[in-house]
Amino acid sequence: MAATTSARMLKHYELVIKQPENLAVTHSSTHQIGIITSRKGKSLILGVDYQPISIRTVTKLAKEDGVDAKSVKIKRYKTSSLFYYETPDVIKVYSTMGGHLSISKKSTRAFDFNQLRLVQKNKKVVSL
Amino acid sequence: MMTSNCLSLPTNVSLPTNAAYLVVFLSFSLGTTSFANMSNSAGNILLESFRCDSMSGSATQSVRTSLANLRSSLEKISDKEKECQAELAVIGQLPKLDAVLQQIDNYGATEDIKKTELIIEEALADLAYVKTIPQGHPNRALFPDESTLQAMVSSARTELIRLRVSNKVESGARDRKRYIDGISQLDSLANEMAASLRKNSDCYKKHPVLRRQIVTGILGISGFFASSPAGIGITLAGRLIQNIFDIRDANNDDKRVDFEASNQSMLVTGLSCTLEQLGNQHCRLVRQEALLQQLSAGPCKDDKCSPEMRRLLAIMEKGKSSSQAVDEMTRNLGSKISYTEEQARTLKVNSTFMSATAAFEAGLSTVKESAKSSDRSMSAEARRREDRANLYTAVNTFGTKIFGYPATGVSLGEASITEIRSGMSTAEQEKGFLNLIYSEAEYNDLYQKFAVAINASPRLKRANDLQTENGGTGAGKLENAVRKNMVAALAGEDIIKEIPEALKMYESFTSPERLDIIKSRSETYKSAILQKFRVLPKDDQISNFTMAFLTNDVGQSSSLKHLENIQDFFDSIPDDFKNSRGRLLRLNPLRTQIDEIVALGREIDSATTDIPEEKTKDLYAKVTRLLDHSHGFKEDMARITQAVANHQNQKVAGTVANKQDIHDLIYMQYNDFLEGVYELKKPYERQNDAKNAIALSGAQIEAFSKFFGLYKDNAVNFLNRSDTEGRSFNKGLSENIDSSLKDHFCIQTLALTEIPKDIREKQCGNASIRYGSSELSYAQFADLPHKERVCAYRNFLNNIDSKRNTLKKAVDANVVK
Repeated sequence: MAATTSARMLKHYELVIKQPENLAVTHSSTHQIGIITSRKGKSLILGVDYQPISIRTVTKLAKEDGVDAKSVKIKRYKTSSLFYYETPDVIKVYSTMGGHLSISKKSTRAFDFNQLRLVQKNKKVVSL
Repeated sequence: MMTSNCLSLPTNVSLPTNAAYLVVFLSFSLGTTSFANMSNSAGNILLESFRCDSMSGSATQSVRTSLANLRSSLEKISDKEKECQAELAVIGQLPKLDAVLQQIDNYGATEDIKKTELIIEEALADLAYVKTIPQGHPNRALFPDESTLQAMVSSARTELIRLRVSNKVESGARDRKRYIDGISQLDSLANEMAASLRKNSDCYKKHPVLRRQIVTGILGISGFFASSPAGIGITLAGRLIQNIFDIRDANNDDKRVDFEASNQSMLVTGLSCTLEQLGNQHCRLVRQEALLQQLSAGPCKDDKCSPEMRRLLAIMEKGKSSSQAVDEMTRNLGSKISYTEEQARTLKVNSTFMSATAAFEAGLSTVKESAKSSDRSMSAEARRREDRANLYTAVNTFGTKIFGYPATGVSLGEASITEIRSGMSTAEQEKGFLNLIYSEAEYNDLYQKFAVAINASPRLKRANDLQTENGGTGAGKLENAVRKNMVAALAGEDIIKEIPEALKMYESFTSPERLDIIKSRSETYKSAILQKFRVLPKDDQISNFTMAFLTNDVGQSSSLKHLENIQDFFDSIPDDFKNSRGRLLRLNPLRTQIDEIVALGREIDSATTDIPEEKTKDLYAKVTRLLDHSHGFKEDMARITQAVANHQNQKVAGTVANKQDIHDLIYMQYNDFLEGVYELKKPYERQNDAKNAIALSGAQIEAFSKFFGLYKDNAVNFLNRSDTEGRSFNKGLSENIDSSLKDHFCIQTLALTEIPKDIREKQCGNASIRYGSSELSYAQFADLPHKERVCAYRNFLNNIDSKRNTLKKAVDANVVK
């Protein structure tokens, strides 16, 4: 996806994983991806060029990946949500505010959904 | 691509499909069959593959539907591991087939376009749903908010327009190759499926449903070929259909094993549809071949030809020559102006940069337009915010391509054009897109003010890693912090509340003065970049090119001669066409371009002294510009020749005895164009192809005749108002089966290469159909050679169509009076 549509949507939010040791991130070649390692090396912030997405579309994507819609996990905030599901190879994470991660399972020690945060850019890593 | 008929015809050719009327009539008046039964009936299989009824959706969708049924049957087979192993290997190709269909679907639309369309579709669906969720309901959090969705739709629509433009320019050739590759793979897979069926294995004996579904799947693929625009489609479709009929013939131990014949109404419509479509196909090929012969012998030599017809043929002939000229010239010169690796790399950089520039300039222009308003209302403020966000995106994306992302101490995914970025100074690379917004002096001034503000604020120092929580020195650098905050200021982030200069930057971002500066600075950079990444032809390339342009090759005219032929074609275009369509089709600019090249070419060709270098360079530049694929010369010429032929056709249509001849000529012209575009073969080399196609089409009808023989009795019984056992229908059903249905069916059997004796003598001897004073009787054609009788039904319907149009015109004229 070219940047014009989604970059504007994404300028305020990023997906963040705390304690990301051994996480390997993959991504589609059509999406820009930015990786920022914090000064203490404890957090990995992944701002990915992707449009905001709804649970409806995520379940569709999951089905296309051969994953049952019921297996899509949801983390709700007040006005936004994070979604994730696992395929045999990767863990895919989306959010209603934009942003998308595709994390390779091959080199992942353990993925903890609770470590995932949707944060405002340029702010400390805190949950909303 | 798809038409309501089985065979694809250009939209300007009207071909009534009587079988379609039968389908509608029988489906409504006798529709007593359940879907499950229908899916197994012989009639339905024929209808599905020959598409007599108006099916919606794309041709590839139709194939997908057939294959989805096949998959579903497969899933029901429990003992996959045993006798069905070999068959499953073939069916295992289905995912691959799906990918091929995807590839064909993508023809003309890149992935980006598809994705953008999907974003719009999804966002609209989400919007519709979100509106139904009450405010404050927790489920609202599962969706982006309404304003985001609306912004996504509007942004994606703009993006779509940009992509469509760039797609047209950039990826035409690549998509054509994919399409042709897709066709070839589809053909190969369908044949593998057919080969598997021929084995008539235990698997198929045990699972007749699977067999039927595979047959339907193959027929679906053949239907796809038949509806494809390229002439080769008919050949591929024909081979597959013949495969099916042969398979059926090889396994005819029990006809009910394959197709259920008891559903008589569907059987009649299916047989009727197939007869009509195969007949139409054969008739059209026979006529085409005759017309090609006539054309190759010289247009319209016999005395029966009207002056208008003669003129049409002459114009079409010139049109064909000019299309051929364009094709040959492109190919001939193409090899002479091939680029070195270095030139190709430069061209690529140039093209990527120009694409980014176009998007940026479009974005800048939109913001400029929007920013002109002096409205100070709240909604105007919201719009200004939107403008700033749009400008930020545009300038950031474009600037990052040129300079990379500003150095802010973090590494973001960069989409820079490496060759351009590496030519920039370190300072320019560090500033990134800020170069486009501020002059060096302005930037330095802002830098100082931001640095002072950050240093004065412990919170900002901590946030920017300049100071630790304990008050110690942080690992961050001031220069990175300044640039990071300047970027954040333009993005409208919270920093504008803390640094006064940041707020000023944000608010003046879309001011007319700033927009002018951005425009001016971006143009300066653009000009410098283009100057650097410009492809200059080398001397030997120019001399190669000039020779190729002026010299006749073995068996080929020079490019100069080809252009002179195109001039001839332009001269032959009737004045009324030039007046009415000339501007739309850009006749004059194109003609001027060609005239200039021809004049220059002649001057160089006839020079007796040394040819000045500037002249050859000028010729090279002019021809390169004309043939540059992004200008679409080839497509423009094809459109013009087609439009001229159509125009003349309309003028002639009222004056010639057999209008169908004109239609067929236009159809051929259309196909030549398509085949030229798809690079399947050289235009106008079709006479042998036509002969082969006629033979193939005849063999198809022959194969179908055997199939027809198995089912004709049940169909005729139905039309005689009795069931498969010959028992009369009750009165209520009988009175709904009009005798004209049988008459049409009988006339359609004239398309068979050999008409069964009982049909010919007993059932259909007295059949006839009428419209007004026109009548077509079975007996009149039954004894004629096949190639004459096969067109009887088609010509009759065309005549009716013509009379209806004449009548309508007369009625319309009276109404006007």
